Amino acid sequence: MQTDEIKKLLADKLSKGELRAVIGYRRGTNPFFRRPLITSSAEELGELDFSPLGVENLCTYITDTVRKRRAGRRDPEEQYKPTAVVVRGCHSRALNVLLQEKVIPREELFVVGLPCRGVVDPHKAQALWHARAENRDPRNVVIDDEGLFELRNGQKVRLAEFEEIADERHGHCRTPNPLFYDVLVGEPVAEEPVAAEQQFSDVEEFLQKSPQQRWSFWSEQFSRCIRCYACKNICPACSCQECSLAKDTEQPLVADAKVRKTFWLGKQQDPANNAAYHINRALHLAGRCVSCGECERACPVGIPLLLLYRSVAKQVFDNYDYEAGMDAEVEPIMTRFSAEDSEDFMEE
Amino acid sequence: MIRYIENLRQFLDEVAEGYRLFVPRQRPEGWFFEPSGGAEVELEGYPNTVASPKEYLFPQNETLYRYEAGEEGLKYDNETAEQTGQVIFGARACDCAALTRLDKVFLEDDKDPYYARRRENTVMIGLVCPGAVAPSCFCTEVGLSPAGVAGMDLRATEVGEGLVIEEISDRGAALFGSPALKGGKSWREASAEEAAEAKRLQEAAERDMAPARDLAEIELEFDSPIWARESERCIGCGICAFLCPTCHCFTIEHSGSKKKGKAIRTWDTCQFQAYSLEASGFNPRPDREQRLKQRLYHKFKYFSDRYGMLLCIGCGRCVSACPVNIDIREILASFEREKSVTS
Amino acid sequence: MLQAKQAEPVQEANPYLPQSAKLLEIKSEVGGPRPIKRLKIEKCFEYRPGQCAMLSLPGVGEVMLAISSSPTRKTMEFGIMKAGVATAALHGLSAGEYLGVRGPYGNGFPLESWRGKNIVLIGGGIGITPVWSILQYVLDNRDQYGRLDFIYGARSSADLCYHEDLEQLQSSKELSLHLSIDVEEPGWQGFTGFVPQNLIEVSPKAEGSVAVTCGPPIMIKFVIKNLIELGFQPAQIFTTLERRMKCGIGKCGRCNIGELYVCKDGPVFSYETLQRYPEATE
Repeated sequence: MQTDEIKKLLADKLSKGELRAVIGYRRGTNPFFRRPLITSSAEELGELDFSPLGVENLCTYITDTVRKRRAGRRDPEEQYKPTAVVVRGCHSRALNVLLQEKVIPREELFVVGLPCRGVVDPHKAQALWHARAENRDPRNVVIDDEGLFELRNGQKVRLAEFEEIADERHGHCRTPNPLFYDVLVGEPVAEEPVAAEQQFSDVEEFLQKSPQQRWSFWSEQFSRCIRCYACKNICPACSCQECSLAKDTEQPLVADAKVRKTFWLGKQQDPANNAAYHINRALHLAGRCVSCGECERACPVGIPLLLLYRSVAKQVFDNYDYEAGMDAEVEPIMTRFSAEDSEDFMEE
Repeated sequence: MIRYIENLRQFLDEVAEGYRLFVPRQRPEGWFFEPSGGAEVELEGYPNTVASPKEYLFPQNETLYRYEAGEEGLKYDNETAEQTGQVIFGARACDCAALTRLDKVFLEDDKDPYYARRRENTVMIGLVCPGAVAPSCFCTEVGLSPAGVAGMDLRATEVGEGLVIEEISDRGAALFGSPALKGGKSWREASAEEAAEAKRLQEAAERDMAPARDLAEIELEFDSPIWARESERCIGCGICAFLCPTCHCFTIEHSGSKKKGKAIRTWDTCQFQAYSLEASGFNPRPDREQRLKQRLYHKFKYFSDRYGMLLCIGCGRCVSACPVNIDIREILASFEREKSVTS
Repeated sequence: MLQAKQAEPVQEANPYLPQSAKLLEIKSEVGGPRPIKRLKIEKCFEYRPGQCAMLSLPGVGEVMLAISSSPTRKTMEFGIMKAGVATAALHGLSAGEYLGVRGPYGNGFPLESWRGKNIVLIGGGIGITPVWSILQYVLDNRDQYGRLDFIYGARSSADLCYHEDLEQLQSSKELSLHLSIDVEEPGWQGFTGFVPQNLIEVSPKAEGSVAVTCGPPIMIKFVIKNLIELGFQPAQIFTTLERRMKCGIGKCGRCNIGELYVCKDGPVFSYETLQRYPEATE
């Protein structure tokens, strides 16, 4: 379906009360990426944008809505109307994870699938802009499928090809097309995605380093962490009502002080606590992380989180032949075991 | 005296002989202040740092005191605070102005000895901006200037191949009387032309950033639907507060046992849900809407009502770093528009 | 001045540093799921009624509590409901043990400006603790004040705090005690009903009076409404607010209501002041 038709369809459904809200992308004030649009007003749907600048994993707002419902601060009447959400391929995998884990029923989703030919890396685009633009006024930024341009006297002057501003961390993408949808934007991507066995080429080189080298690398990275929790908060898989790794930041369901105060981590931002936070979260995401890369994009100090999470994903794949979010009907890998599971890691 | 430094690396190398020196360094992830020996400094293309230099005066973690239980009661010991002098070179005018806000909080009434100690022992050498250094800069809209001197001890302006250095405070002047720099090997008196050029560049930077509005004039409205709308996409992280040069909220936690341990202060933020959560379970700001409102009000009203200056210094870090593009400039502009529509 | 030196302990006064204080007495006042205990500790500093102190539990944390006793008394007293980890730790203490204290914090009640006036104290449940300091202070300076009315209630008679003191005060001519419980109880001689209703029953004169109310937010809301109906001006009505606190000295930012810090500009606020802050009533 063409974008205009999609907008009309969604506006129609919203006006008729068939949808609770629509979650998509729209232009914001940052020219290097789009911002989430969360609206129940049909008029605002004219703003919906489906360009490669829409990078956020909008499923995090589905998770968010569910968490708020559990905390009892939503009108119970509204719980049963579906929410429309725009999803790229990897995002549809995130929805599968939520469906697998019974976080939300399928009937409460109206999935607008967005076939993906690559997204912009906002950090790279901004760096190239900073380096190559004549006049750095952000109002002169133009980014489209062709690349990064500067508007000079009304003329588009190319500063970079699309490949230069594309997010190359998604070279391992297994799902350019959403795995399921209620309506699809435009035509599906024709190219074959990366084969399962080749998908971890980006982490293989790193994983060949010795454990000591890897620990040294991650220690240095974790020492820069400021414990802002953007990585956790932007992740759709982080749906726990009470995050055991950040209890001091969120209101628990349980009022009992003893439960509330059994902290797993100290609030101090020091090497031990930072490492504990990141390593624990990476393990919590084993078999659940879909490599959307939002954690890394959101990180203000540029910790290469995708490398960490994909290192864990590779281990899950190597040991259990399992990829997160490919099939909503299967039980999540970490909630089951079989006698045939690999025990290589226990042999000495 | 107005001085001229021909070779910045040589100058900073000398400074590093007597002080802990921190200088902006470009990493693949962005520019950050890092400890430096001076000689390897490279500031080509330097905009502003990702994180502000406030951590050198108000660290993210700090032990406040230690305690020990004994026969005669509890013994509380002041923690030693660092005494060694430090020089922060390359802080922008906005980040230096931020220190005048932190000074109000920490030095007035019940002086905070930890902050006070570091402030006394820190020389801020500010670097004049050529104009707006990042797409989200708006210091002039909050009444500041890219060439401003608030909170600075010395002001550096890039002139020719080197820098013109102006004394702003006694502490800054005293730096040149220190054993490390007294000899005058890395600096000399600036010529009249050099001093004039510095002034010209400062004025040009200000003109380049002539403000479109005065954010101090904007009236926020407590019951506006803008708050719910803008906070809807907020993910509740601490990026805006932790990168902000003026955010100073903190928590104090005990680390240790009943017998022995310490009290540690760490940064906290009103954007975390549990920030104001009471033991009874009551939370005066349970939703993101109220927390976003608190942030804007604190920056643009509460602080100025209390201390006579805006808490926001217009660096724009929160604007560029917010992963979902919540933009305080835009929120303020919506209030301005609303007002002009109804008035 | 700016030279590298050996690290030295901070010399100046440190507003975060507690001092050691001995717990003299700890008594259970109210049982049940939200128990209340009364603690008496050595008096460490001078203070005014309505001011608070940060009690520090080593290894646990700190909690800001209203000093329940009047400075005219020999010991510092606190009425503490077990709610979080710090209050739970306080409940677990025994007499003779030590805890940390720092203070006094906050503005306190403007008792000097209340001289000659009638004092109407209205409390519910644990809300007795801040007004108790006024009650003791007025009793200790009796001739400086007019009438003293104490309107106090709780869910049941078992939930009334400081009941031993209340029993003694029943027969006192220095004040008028008006107790209430919410629900009928055999043997109860006082008013049965909510505190705001009892207030209407008592019907204190507004002229030349000040009213101070502390207790559950819902009770305060109706008490203030009824006080206004009885002719009290907002400037004659006072209450104490509470917020989560950490520093106690207006620096950590968390206890704010508008530009005011409850720890420093409060906890005592007149209703006239509160009307100007939408955040206070949310």
